Amino acid sequence: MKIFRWQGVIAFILIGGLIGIFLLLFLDGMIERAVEEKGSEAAKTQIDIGSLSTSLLAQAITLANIEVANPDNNLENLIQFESLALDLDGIQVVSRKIIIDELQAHGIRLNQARTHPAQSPDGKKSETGNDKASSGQKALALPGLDGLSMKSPEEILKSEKLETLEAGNRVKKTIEDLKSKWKNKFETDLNPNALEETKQELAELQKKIQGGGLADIPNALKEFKTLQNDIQGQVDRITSMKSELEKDVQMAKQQVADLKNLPQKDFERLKNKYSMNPEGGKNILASMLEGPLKEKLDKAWKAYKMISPYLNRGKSPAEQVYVRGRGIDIAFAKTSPDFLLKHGDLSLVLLDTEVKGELKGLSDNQQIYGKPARINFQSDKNEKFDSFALDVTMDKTGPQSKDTLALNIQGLNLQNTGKAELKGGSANITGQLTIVDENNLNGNFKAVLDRVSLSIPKQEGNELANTIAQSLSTIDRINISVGISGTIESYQLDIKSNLSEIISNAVKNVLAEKMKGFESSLMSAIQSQTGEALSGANGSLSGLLGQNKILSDSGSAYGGLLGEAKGEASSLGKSKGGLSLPGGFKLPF
Amino acid sequence: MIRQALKVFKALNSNEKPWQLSLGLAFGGIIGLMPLWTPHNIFFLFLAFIINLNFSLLILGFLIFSGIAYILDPLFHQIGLAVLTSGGMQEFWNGFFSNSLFLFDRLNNTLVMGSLIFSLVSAVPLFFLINFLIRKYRENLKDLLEKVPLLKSLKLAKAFDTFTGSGS
Repeated sequence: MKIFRWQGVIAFILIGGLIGIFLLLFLDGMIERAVEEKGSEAAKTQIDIGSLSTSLLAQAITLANIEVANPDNNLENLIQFESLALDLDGIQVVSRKIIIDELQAHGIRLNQARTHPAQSPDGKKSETGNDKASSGQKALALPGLDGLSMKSPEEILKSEKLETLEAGNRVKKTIEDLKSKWKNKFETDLNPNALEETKQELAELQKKIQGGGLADIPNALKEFKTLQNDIQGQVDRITSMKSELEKDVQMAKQQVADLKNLPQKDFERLKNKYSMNPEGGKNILASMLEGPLKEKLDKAWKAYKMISPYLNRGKSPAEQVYVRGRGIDIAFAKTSPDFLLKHGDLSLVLLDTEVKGELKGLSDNQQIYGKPARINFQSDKNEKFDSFALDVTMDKTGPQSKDTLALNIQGLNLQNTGKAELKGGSANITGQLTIVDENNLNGNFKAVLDRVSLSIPKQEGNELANTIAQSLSTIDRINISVGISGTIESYQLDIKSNLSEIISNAVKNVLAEKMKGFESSLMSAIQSQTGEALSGANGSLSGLLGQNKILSDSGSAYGGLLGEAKGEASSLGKSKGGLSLPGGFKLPF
Repeated sequence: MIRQALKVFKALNSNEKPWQLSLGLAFGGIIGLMPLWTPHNIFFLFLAFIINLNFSLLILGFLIFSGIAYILDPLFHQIGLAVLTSGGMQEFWNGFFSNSLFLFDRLNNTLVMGSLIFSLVSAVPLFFLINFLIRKYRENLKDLLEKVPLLKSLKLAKAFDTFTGSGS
């Protein structure tokens, strides 16, 4: 019996050959689908590839029409490439590493409209982009003045809570509670029947003395003393209640007094919030520019956050979780990164012109590779600008990552930037941004717009916006500087411009009179809305004060009875000294 | 399936040596317990092609042990994790995986490493156990089972198939 059957080698080669042919025929489609599916899962947004072809001999892959959808807007692509050609280091594939020696990326476009809506890979419905459809490349756009109309006091009070109203109702409730507390106390501790009963008791005792003999005097005296003590007890209780009530009344009075200042406080707060400060041209400019700028920056941060983890595996390796059938890959000491793009030629389409760029040393683990990734785009004079330079360095080689971006655009023609308001002029834009530890921002950008011609359409019924627009139409030079600080999650923009002065003057002229009217009508509106609560609190307080009278009346009634009882007792004590006979006769000894 | 069972039954009663049958089952076990598309699995398949073992039992072993592999998946992961993360072996593994071939083989994966160790270790006793059982079967049960009417009729049907040419 033979141990080996050599014809098995032929069978194995035949089967292997068949599998090889199958792969050769269908490899491109399989890779394309895998990149679309796995790439979409990893990037959490749809990735489409128009076509993909591989060349095993040349160890190259060519892709065409690659689209990466914007995860926040399914009608927009975050980035798209007309073509991508990659020359791979095939030997490194054995080590499960992707090493790209050379990349050619042409027709890179940012924020382009999609022909069909993207689907979220996790099945979540992403935001439909009808209202957020691509705004193209409008980096230099001046915002409109739509937001400069002022709210009426009635509108403001509909959306704002008034402290006066809340405090008034609170005070009214406190006083009502006090009133009900005293009402209960009067009913239990100050029973009106008790006064009548005491009066009756005193009257009966007096009758008893008048009709009684000598022998009854000591008993009557005793009863007088007891009654006197009862009345004294009642008087003491009333005195203590009076002092307690006095305290409650003082507290209520203080609260009502405090209410008087609140309408003014509400007024100041709302005035500061809604009124346009005639000196606030700077704030208006900031509010005009900040919104659109932040919208673009937020988009940039999102893309940055999406890419960063893949470029810093050295510091934050992907966390692996055991999944049945997959296990986990244990990472051992590496001598080279798992992904490296050594060199790439890029071609970015910006403002409908081509800007050439270069990419060097893009790796997933710069700590091992030892070099930062660098991307730069440069262009000489063309019909859109005199020169363009964008340098991006992503340095994650050290313990603290430091990414920098430097921009320098000279002589940008503003006529074709896509904003209707800009009818002419040119701009020089320079600046740089540093992101430390992938979170801490520090940057400053300056734009000098020269020979500007602004034409802002009139807004019906918005006097302020129209006045500012008119002021802006007379200027021909604008300087804007934007400082960025803080963290990606919470950053501040410090916007300065010569427009501040221009807008401030326009605002001063228009708003001075308007503000007076606004403030007085705001005060009236506050007063009319809070009047009821304030008068309600005052009314409740007078009700509480009225209860003081009940205590005083009751106190004086008991005081009278006490005096009467004391008088009777003392006269009875005196008469105890001489013997008196029935019928008023007196003995001579 | 019935044909496969018949093939196994036929192999058990054939003149093939017990080691051919048990090696077929052991190889089926090794290939079935490990993730299919790994380079070393293809190597084992290559060995199975050139060693004169029984292929029906290899396929049977592969099917049975693939199911067992699914159940034992967490155990394989634990074995692989323990071996790959063992404190004293880190220097060895660093040197081992500096060779691209082992990374290509995905031996740094807990499941691949765990299942490879488990299948290789368990293949040896499995081989000897099956070998022993086949011997015992042939000594004690073979003649007895051949007298069972159902098996007899199956045998006749097989003979008929062979005669008419409709069998394999």
